[in-house]
Amino acid sequence: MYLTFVKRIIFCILLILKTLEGVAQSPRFSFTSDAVTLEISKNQNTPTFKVYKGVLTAIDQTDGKKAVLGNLTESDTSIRFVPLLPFQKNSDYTVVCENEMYPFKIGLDTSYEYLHVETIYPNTTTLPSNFLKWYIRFSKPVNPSKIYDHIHLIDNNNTEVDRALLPLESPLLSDDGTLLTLWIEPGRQKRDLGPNKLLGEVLVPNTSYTLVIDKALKDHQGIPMNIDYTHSFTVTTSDRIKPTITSWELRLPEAKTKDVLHINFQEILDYGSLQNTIQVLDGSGNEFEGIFTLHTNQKSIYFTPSNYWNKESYKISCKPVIEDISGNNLERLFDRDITLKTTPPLLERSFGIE
Amino acid sequence: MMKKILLTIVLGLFLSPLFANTSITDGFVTGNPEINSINAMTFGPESILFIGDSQGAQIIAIDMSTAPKANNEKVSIPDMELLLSELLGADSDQLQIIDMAVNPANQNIYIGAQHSSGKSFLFLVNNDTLEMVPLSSVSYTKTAVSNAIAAEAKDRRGRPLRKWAISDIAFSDGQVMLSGLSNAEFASTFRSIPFPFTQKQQESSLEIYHAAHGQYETASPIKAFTTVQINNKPHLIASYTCTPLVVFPISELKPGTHTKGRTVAELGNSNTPLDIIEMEKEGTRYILMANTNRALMKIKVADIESFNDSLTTPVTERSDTAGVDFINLPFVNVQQLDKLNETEFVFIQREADGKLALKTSNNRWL
Repeated sequence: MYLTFVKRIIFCILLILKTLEGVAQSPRFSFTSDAVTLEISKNQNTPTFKVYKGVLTAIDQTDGKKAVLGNLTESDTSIRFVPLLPFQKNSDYTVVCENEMYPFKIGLDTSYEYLHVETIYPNTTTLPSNFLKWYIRFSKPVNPSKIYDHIHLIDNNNTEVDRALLPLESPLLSDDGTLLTLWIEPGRQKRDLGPNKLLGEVLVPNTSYTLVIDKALKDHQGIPMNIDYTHSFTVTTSDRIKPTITSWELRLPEAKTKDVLHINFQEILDYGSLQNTIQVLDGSGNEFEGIFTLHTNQKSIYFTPSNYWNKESYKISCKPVIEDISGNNLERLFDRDITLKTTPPLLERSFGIE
Repeated sequence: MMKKILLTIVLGLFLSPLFANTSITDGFVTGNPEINSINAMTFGPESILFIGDSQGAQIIAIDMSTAPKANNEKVSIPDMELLLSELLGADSDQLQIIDMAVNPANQNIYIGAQHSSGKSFLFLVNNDTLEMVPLSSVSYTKTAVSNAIAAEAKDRRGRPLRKWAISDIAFSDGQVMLSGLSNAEFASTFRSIPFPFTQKQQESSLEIYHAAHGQYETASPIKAFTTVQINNKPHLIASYTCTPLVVFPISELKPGTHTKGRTVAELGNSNTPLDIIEMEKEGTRYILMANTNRALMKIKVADIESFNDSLTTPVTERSDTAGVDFINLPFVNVQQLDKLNETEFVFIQREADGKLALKTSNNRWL
């Protein structure tokens, strides 16, 4: 009885030792999102390995499959594979080394914050029927590929409006990948173009719609939003009036201060067209430097001067490209009736500081 | 003596072109052109690949003449997205094929692809697979697309706002031509930059309008274009985001001009043109156009030449089209299109099974 017990103990110890031996002989890989590193010893024959996307369980599964592209570098103690792109989070990969499979997955950081829409311009609950474009600010760079598959315009019958948005091969994203410009199908918004004549404007007056960005939209790391974004609005009649700077309301600062000049546009203007298109000029016609702060959704822009206001006359100078949310700019209507006479745009407006 | 003089003159006549001619690659340097994004590609003369880089607001010209000819006996990649996904280790929905260009000198097919992180990659089609073309050490020159955007326009958190995205690029008569879209204004900007690039860049910038049935005119971005001889004069054939096909004489595209194109066709609603090429069969020239929501279209150049009017009558039927005749070819969902050689074109097509396939076809369809 006692001998049998001792034999069992010895057998278990041998088994553990055998297992440890096996572990010791296994290649030691470490995985990060940027690299796969294999530790090697000096006396060891240098093994080679490749990395494949997906889970592979047998060597024949590599047939006809391409390995991930990257650079392999070797030192005395390790072989390091750096992929062209960092390994995608929460995705499966397999290292194939001497016909053995070593699957791995890089998890999400605990501090990871899901992609979401920070704001939309304009964010009003009413829009004219010839409304042209939204700007959507995401919390982090968004995946531009197939982005339009995730953006839908739903009418109040809960039906998706067909071909409402202009899909572009390269979506109009700011360089940091966070600001998307989203056009309503322009062919349908322009009077007399085929799509407009045949299908009418995308947005029908007195109808409610919801812009939906579904939660399957991914960020640049391939992680989807975890919640849908919705923005509802009702459509009013079309806007075919050019914006004019004479209708802007100014709240003037006092001389010998650096107080803010408030410009209220009296209507929501296009967010993109207000970027760097307004200047303040001093009495000599030179630029009066300062910082403009846009409050597009509040119909206003604030100018904070770098220097003190003098008691003199200043001018607001605008570029003609400043447009309203229907694409009518200071110079022309979005679709101009060429049978009507045009008047040159007013691009400057004076104001005095007391 | 006379013989010597004659010999000198003859030799001089023979040799002078050798010394007088400057190579098109003079001024090219070897190194990393620092391409930020590949947005549009085209080939010019002598295997020069032009890359439009929206993010870097630049055009890069790369000498590809030393690249070996690929083995493209039968071009067929049945699942481009799977292949790119395997090679780049990313889900296929994180990757996008941006453009395709064929080197007319050797029929090498190049594919520009982009990852959701913004990183771009150039691939060569070879032996029915994709080989990455390293761009870290190439012979290149480049030029900035000046005034492309007001680069200083940033929001309160210092994030850049304006963007001028290159939508198409072509090379013709010593000029790199670019069309682009702005994220701020719905206007068309078209640029023509002489090549070889010079310090004193003669850049043309013009607004292009099109008249829709006479009464209304609008500025509109050009989506795709090509250059073609019409009535023996070089013309630009451009298609807008809202599909009218418009023709402009290149001689009229001058800096600062308000040039109005002649609308020769409306090509159906809710359709965005993707690529336009010119092919020829038995002396007859054709325009082939790939579209988002329409089949590959074929238009006879002679029909455009003989269509002297601009469209003036409204289209009456839903989805109807007007202007010059065109024929829908049995190729739907063609996303990329280029001329492979005198008789074949290469294209990337979304097939019925959902796969994105690279294939070729020939001018028997013309």
